[in-house]
Amino acid sequence: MKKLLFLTSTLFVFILFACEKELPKNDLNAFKNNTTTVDIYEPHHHETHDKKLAHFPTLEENLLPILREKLRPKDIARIRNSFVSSHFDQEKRSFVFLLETHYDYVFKLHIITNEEYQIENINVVKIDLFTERINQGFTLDEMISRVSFIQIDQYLSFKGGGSVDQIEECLELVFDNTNPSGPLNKPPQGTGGGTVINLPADECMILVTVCGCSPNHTGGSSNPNCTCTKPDKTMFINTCNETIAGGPSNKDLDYWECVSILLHACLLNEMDLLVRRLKNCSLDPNDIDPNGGGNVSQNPADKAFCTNWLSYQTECLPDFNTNEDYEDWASFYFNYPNLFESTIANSSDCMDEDEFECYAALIDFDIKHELNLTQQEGSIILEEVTTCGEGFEEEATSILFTMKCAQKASSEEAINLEENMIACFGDINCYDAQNSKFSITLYAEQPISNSRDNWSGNPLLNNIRVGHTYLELKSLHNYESNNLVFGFYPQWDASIRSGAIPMEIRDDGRKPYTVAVTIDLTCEEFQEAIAKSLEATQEDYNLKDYNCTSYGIEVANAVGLGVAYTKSPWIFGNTTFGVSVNPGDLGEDIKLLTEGEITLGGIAPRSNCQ
Amino acid sequence: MKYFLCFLLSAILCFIVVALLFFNKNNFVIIDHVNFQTKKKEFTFTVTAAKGRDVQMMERRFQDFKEENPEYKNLKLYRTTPINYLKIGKWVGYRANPAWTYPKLPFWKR
Repeated sequence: MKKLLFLTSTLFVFILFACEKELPKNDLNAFKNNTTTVDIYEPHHHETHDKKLAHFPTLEENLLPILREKLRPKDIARIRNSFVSSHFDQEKRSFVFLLETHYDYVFKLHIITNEEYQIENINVVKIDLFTERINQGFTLDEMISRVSFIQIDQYLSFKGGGSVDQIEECLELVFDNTNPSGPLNKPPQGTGGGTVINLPADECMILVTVCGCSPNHTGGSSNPNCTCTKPDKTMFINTCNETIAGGPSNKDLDYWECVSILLHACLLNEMDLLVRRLKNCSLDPNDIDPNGGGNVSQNPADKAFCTNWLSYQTECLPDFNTNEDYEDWASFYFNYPNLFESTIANSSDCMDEDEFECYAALIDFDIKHELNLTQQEGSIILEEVTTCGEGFEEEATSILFTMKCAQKASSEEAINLEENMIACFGDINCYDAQNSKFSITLYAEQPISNSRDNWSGNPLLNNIRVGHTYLELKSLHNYESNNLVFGFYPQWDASIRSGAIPMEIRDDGRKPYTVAVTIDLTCEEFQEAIAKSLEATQEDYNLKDYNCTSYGIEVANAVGLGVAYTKSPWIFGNTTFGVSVNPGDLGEDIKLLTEGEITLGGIAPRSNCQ
Repeated sequence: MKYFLCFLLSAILCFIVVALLFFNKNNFVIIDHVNFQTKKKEFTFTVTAAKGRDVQMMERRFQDFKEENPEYKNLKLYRTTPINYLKIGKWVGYRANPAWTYPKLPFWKR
């Protein structure tokens, strides 16, 4: 009886420690500190604008309950994902998070903590945008560089119910939304002593001129949009780091480039932009870039977006019309961009409210816990939950946990061979390939160099090596050299008794080999090698039937390499587990070839065209 | 003392039973995978040591990656495949294979 008791308890202990448990949250910080760079956790540096709230776990723990009382989950998620925007003060321990950006002011959350990062003071501050820009180090300077800017007033007039037919160019402007319909053709000079603007041929800077006071101030500015008496102010925005077609000194900024710059400079908020984008599809369905002049080819991405949106609107939102509708859908777009785009892409499957609720719950769950769920994981959760309202999170957590526990030890590194082939060799046309060169290399990494043994190591020590066979296709075409090194693998763990396992192709660049042979090919043979490489991926991986060596030989022999197809038995202990080709035999057979360039030992080059 | 010895013998017996249950020498895993990634998956690699895709190859590839992308030079590699102590046949490998010595990234941080 006692033995049974001990046996049972011992078994219990084994089972208890059998799984490598995920670390409980209390231990997580210790884990992090041991395994990551120190600068991303409790601050060791003064600069914090590259850090997020999550990097200050104690503060986060104290702050979240407060935020949850005041804000919606998606707003909290956004704050958690936004960067701490100001300098961290080691003594005061003050933190600033950007809450909300409007076109003429921002809301910021100011927090002061004690040494333990417990909150001592917290408040929301409204800052006018100009002050905010100046605080961030923008230069007020009379040495003005060239002006390239969008007519932001026209853009913003949309918010007042106006329409935007065309933004003709990016030019100097007044940042003023009080009288959007007024003319704005040059930077203004306030009667209080505004700046005379000269425009040297400089680059990398754009200019925004703002009224010297709040727009509603009454006064005598000569600028009809700027009713104030103080000097106008000029703000510079450095565009050197912006992606601008034609380089940063290009005067003729594309409309969306301007918008992008405005966004980066916090002069627009994204909601404004999205409402505008949706509405503009109706105004100009073929080309929502007002600078594009109707040339759809310059803006294909926007055209595709509008096509989807208008089609979805017609099929699924027959009563869609009001500004409120636009704002609702822009909000959907803003908070769930991927879901929005996949939704409007399928106008034959209109999303109903319940479905939307489920998707929204899933996305909030994903953002809140920073899970980065895959599409497959998300689909499984949505299929299995019984509610998308209260209780969703608990159910989703449980499903996710089960899913992760059941996950097989599979590879995450597969490449799409067809896409890679197209990327590497898609532009080869054999009609103009007389001066081009093509080759195929078959690499064998033997488990024991210069031996036909098909495995090495000790099963009891779990260090068996079976070697590997892989291929390299290489082209020199139109003075461009491309190569792709790839091999055939099982998708997950394979034992000696495993049958067929789905295959996957992996990039084998920088992999060692013991023997390799390279033969030159004609263009037609090269195309045949590509076709065969793709065709042979229809096979499953089977260690004893169709393995990496079978694949390599099949492709190489299809274009005339002529290497022997030598098979050897898989013998472990006294048992034979089938017979198959293998890298050991292949390596020795390659040495017997009379054609081709044979190389002994080395490391394969990296693939250069993925 | 008597109970301690009894416990020890029971533990050994239990170990043998479990070993027989879970480690069949005729069905050992030959090709196994250990997945690695940086925190945000900027770089991923699957070590398949049996086929020569070992830690050295991974480090070579990771070095190439960092050279090509200097902005990622401070990234670190984490193991995402968990150790499963139920697989007794792998115990030795867990100790001997350097792939298993890399820090593990819990799934909720991926």
